[in-house]
Amino acid sequence: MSDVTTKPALDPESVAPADGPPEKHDVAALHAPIMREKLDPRDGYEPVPLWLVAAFGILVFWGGWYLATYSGGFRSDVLDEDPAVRYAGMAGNAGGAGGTDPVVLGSRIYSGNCVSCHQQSGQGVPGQYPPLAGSEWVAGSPARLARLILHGVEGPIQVKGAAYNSAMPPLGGKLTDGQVAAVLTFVRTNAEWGNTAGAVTAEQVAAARAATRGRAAPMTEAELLAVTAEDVAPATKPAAGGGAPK
Amino acid sequence: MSTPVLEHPRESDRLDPAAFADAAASERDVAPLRAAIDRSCRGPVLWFFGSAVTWLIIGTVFALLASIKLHTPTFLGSAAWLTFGRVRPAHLDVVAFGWSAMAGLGCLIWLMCRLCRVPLRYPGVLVAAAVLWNVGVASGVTAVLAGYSTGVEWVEFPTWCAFILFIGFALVGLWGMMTFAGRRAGHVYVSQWYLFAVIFWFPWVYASVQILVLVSPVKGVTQESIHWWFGHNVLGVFFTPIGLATIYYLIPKVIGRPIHSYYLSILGFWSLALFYNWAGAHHLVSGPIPAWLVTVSAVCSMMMFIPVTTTAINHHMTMRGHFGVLRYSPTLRFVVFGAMTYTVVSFQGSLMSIRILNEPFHFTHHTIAHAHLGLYGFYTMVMFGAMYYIVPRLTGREWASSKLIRTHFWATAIGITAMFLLLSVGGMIQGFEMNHAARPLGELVKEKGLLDGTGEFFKGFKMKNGAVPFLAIVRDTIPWLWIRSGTGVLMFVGHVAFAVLMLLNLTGRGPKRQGPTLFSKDTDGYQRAFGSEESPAHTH
Amino acid sequence: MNHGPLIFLGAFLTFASAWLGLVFFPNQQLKDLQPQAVEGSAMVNPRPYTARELAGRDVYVAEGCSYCHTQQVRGGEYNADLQRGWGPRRSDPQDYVHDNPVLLGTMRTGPDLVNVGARFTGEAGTRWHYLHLFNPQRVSPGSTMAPFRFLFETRKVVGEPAADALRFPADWTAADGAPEAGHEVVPTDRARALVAYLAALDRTYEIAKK
Repeated sequence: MSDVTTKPALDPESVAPADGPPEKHDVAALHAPIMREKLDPRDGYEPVPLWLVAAFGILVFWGGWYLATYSGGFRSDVLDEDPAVRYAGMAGNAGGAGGTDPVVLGSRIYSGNCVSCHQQSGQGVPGQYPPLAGSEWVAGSPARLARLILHGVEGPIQVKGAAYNSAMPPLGGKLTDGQVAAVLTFVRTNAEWGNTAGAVTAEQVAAARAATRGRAAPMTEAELLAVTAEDVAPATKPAAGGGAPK
Repeated sequence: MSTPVLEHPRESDRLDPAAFADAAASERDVAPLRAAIDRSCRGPVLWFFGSAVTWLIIGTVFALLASIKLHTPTFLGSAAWLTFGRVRPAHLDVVAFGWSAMAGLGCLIWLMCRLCRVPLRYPGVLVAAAVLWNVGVASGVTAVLAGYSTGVEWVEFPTWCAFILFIGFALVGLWGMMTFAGRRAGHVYVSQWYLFAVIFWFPWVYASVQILVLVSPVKGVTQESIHWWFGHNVLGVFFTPIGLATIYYLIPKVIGRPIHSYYLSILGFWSLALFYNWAGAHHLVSGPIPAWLVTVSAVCSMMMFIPVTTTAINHHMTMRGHFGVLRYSPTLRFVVFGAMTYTVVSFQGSLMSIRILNEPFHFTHHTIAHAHLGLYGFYTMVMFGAMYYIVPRLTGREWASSKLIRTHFWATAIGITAMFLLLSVGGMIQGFEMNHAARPLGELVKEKGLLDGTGEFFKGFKMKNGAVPFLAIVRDTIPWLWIRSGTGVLMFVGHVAFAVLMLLNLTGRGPKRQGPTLFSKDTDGYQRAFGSEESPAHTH
Repeated sequence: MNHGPLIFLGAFLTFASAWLGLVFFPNQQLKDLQPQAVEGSAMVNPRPYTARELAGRDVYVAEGCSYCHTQQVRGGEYNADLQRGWGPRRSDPQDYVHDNPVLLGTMRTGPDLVNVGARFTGEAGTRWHYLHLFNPQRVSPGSTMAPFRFLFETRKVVGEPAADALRFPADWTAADGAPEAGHEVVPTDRARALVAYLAALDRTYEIAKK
């Protein structure tokens, strides 16, 4: 230890041994960064400013309000950012499909199921997928259209004077009667596409589904053209849009 | 064996100059202890720091690749292992678990020893931890690039790699607790609370996400709640506390003043502990999860104003009157840049968890800009500052070049500021266009001819509702992505400068200096700012 | 604040509160979710994935598709997810009961995909996906999606062309990847599986009101 003071000032090896209590050495023997260090960090004891506490109190108050307003009663079926979220304890909103306007609902179902073949413009793809705009099929019998959507179409089919021969998949297993009615309503009443037919009700779709229950194969053109009479709804009910009879 | 308990001199002792002088004198005697501590820390801490800087370079290269591929997807487009979907998580994991974690653990080790006033014992355990951590990160990144990612953001490493990391962390944690138990300081300083909390919290979150999302997954969307509880907590209970602990140590240390208020430190620590780890579900606003989950996270995210403001006041009032030191000290400049950024990015994050402010920015580059401001503008800059302080004390060598330090600082500071501001603008444009009709569709179609000739399948494609077509959104963000690549190159330059400095210091090359390597060569100004070297008790 | 045990206790309690709130309670609320039965059939919505679709999901995960694509249609009033045709309704927790991991995603560099299987259906949809994965820039001009050409192989036609060989439009050149005469581009198993998975991403069924 006694020869520490003779070692060069910047030599790290001149530092005290790693264990044992600190010993008094000539501080010049220790390397420079240690030497110029200031006191170790220590605490001051200034008080917490009152305005800060007040500000935090306001923040806590806000937090409590937000929690009470936007928690949807802590239910698991009130999902984030449904309108029901705004009011604690309100019934859950499982869906949010856009209200009861069948045209709006129908346009969304169309975008989600039909657009890839029949296109957003309703023009289809020449030679491959028939157009819906100005189509005589769209303007025809709802009973026929319901069967077309529920079971799909296969085989040659003439639309607006052109021949098509692709397969349209059945959608009856995926869409409810209300959804089929909505998308048909959307297509049939779409003025941009030149379609001016009337709406289709969920009851009409339900009747078509009931009349063809058990059918597994897609429809053919001949079978569809044979559907001329309107199906009779099982009981007269006011037409409703968007509902799902289950 | 009883060892003297070393107390800090307290500000109240100013009233008794003799007591203060005595305490200051005992501080002088601490210098050999400090030297002993630093010497004992050398191996483990330099293992962590050296590995960290290596990962930083690798991670920055991945970052540049990912950034370029976002606007030029055909760049190196045929290499499967470099496809964006692999190189982007590789970047994230390398800079998070390679650079950030290892830099942080190195700081944790050194700070624990210094604050506990004991030299480092069992260095072999810590070196083993560093080696294990390197193995875990290297194997994990290789797995991701080879196509074996788990698909969960921030947790992409296969579980066996994560297990290796877990063991490495556990070793550091056990060492930390033992060191804390054997401390010689009577007073537990605020930094130690944060470091102690990290040791305890991180294994908990890491084990939870591995088990509940990967090994034995819970059903359905709860996975995403746990996932983002973890994702946010990597920042909240691992990096932020280490960053704050480092700031709390280095600001008062470099300028020689006490921290403004012990009471604010307490308020800041406990409010962070309570609120930060509730914030995770703000990553899932409007998602398919119960609304109450998002609400509680939004409320606690806003409550984070409490610890962040508290800490900001504490740091600012400590610095007040000493901002002149920023002209000279690299450590302080990086650390204060990071501390100020912490305040800004936390305020931004708190506000963005409110639904109406979240919707325009969700799923956009704005979120990415925010993430970089936090992990880079705050945490990485603080780590740079810490390394500038610690490494010369471990190696006994000053930094080789003031010019390289200046290059490092300006390249990274300008780089991250530009990246944040400009990428945020790009993200805002992206978000607004995604959520609203930005321009009438007819005008768009005529102007750009965007929707013609996009292939037979989409002839005549038209959005009936006036919303901006998705490809138009992509087109509008591309200029901002180019700018981001430019800022990334700037940051890379800074990293190379720093890596060169580290290499020169660790290998003992480069010019030998006597005094500290500072930003400015104005030694008189430095003397005035720092006070005399002979007087460790710096009175204001 | 000088006592380790005190700090430990506080750190434990504060942290445990969040574990309860974000991990335990959500799981309690959602762990019993089941797919819903379709009336008059053995089908459930959402239907479980087939083995090939699961293999495709592994490809989706490995190639990092989640870093650009989300799989969630948002609720709320401030966004346009529904108007964009990404689904007839917002996403519901029930939609994800078969997903491991759940791939909600966090970025929309590309469009949402949770109902992509309803937008691109049948053989036409499959063919579109193959072409798009092979050369996204050619199929969607301006797209910044990564080209996944390595999911396909170009080979000499032996006998009959393969049934799922890519059908290139006439105006694609060799630079776009169109094969030279006598050669064909076929999807690898990974590509087939991935497209099968994408075709299974259809959550347009209506949620039964509970």
